[in-house]
Amino acid sequence: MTQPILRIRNLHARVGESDILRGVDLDVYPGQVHAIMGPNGSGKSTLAAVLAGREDYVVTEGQVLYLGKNLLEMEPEERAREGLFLAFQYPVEIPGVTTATFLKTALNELRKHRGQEPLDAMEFLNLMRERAKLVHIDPAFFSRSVNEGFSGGEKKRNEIFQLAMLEPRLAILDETDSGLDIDALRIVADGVNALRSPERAFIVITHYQRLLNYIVPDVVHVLYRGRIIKTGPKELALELEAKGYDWVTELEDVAL
Amino acid sequence: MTTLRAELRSPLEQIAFDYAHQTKVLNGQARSLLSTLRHRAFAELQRIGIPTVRHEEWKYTNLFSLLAKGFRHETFDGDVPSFDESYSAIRRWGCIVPLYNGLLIEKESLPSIVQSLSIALHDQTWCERLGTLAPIEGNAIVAWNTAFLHDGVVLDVRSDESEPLVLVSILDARTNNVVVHERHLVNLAPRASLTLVLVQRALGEGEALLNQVLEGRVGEEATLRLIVIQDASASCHSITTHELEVDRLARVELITVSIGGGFVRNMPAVRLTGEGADAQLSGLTLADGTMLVDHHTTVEHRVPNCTSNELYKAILDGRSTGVFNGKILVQPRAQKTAAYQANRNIILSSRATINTKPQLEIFANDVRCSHGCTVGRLDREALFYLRSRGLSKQEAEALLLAAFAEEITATIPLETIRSDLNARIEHLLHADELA
Repeated sequence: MTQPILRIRNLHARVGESDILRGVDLDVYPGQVHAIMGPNGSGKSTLAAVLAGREDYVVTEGQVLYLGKNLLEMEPEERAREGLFLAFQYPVEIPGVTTATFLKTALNELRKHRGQEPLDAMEFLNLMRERAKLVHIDPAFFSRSVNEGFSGGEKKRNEIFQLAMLEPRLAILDETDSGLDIDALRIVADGVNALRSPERAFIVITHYQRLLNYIVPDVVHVLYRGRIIKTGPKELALELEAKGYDWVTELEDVAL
Repeated sequence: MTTLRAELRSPLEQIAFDYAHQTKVLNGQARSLLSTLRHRAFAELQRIGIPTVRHEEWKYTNLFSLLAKGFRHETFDGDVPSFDESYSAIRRWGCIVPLYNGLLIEKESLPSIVQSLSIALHDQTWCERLGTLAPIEGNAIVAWNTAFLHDGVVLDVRSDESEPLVLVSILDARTNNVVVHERHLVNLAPRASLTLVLVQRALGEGEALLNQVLEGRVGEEATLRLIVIQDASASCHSITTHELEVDRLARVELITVSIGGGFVRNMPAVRLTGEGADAQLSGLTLADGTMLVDHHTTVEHRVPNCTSNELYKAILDGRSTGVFNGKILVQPRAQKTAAYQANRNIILSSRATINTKPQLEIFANDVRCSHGCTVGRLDREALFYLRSRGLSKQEAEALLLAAFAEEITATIPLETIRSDLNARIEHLLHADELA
């Protein structure tokens, strides 16, 4: 098989005094969609934060290779430039910075990194218009401050819009479904599905199976107490939905 | 010889020495009314002295140590060369009104509403107006300004002036440190409007200090937009006293952008004297090095149903100091006043300081007044969000700071000034010292 986009081995991480990740192993190959499910507090968002390079998360053991490189040594912006994208669970409002300015700066940083010329104003606007359609974003949003005053659904759509603009190799969706009604969920999922490609991989972090009806994963993992305790095909998600997490976690708790 | 002696004098002694010299030079030229005023002002300055840091209003702003640099008052005569190059870049902002060391120059090309103060003072009306809004009593800065009063502009505005006036104060410090006093009188007739931009340009390597006093009356339903741009070099200092009286349904917008200079002290005072008057004050400070920017604002509500709003923001880096003292005075009869004030500061360096103090004195009972102040660093969540999209830390910081600053520059009603300033601010934010 080809080289994995992401290879996680025995990853341990802590926030403050508490160990959150306690030995995560994961391989993600190009074209795949991995779902990471698990009850609250199992370490799902911590895994996303560690991969994106958020401060305050300390890796105490293990390694993460991203396209063969040591991801943990990279600054957050280097990870982004290398094609890693995190769709935030809580997208940040940035008053005074318009979506257009923000994305233009970001995209041109990425292009510079890839040795490409920056896009001119017209090319950039056309690209924004085209990609905005994917997630039904009104071009009027381009000149509004990033996420400021957006509804929960608009913020999540804006994350997927950014994903579409920045074209990452690996996209991590951190509870993108939380706070979405069914219509918004469908729009977000359609956007993600349109962006699936043989080169690109997704890690979809979710508490509920609902999103996975729309974004059908290749592999489903259950993260519990900082470890992946079960991995299976897409049907695993349905089984979890039907039986609840206790069904798998009890086995783990007994083992402990 | 004088230079050596100048260094040995205290600031007040230096002022007295220069005052005596001025009196000698002006002997016979000065008309009695003006020379009497100068004498009174000088006596008042001698009486109260230069404020020290023991003075509550000057606690964080050491005027004494600034004056210890030794500034000379220039007595001006002879021809003035053209200083066109010092303001060619801002010609597109509006009609340039240049002042050289306090003296109005290029008079022949000025619009009719601009008069030289020294000429206007031949008129009894203007002469009597001088000092009514900025009296010398108890005010060392105004007394000092008045003691050395020579020139400035008188703006008598009777209608809508569509073209902004750009007053450029050229301070010539090519041969020695210089202090320049400017006095301006502005009068807006009912329903008139004016946009006035105040800019400074220093020449030479010496230290330059501008002491600018402006007295403005804004008549009924008139609008005055005053845009003060302080972007000079670190050896250029300024003390501004802008006293404005605002009549019924009239409006004042004051925008102060302080992004350069060494020692900057602004004392705008707006008095709302007619019902329905409105004052909008805003300020942006961008400081690094050892720059000091001190805003001492006063908004006085004298009559009912007036509104005022203040927003001052500062980004402080290096060893810079910011001061904000916002006084809101609501007189007993000024019921139904709505007065708001906010001061927001971002500190980028552990050695930068901000001293901020709201000072609300409310003597009416049916009013809406509020004030708020924040001091902080950049939002870490926002920084991470931007970096997670590929922006470098420096780029992300500059973007957030520019957004913080633009809330103020966005209120500048003139596109040319706004875009020039935003470009300049962006440049400063990308420079090494900031962010």
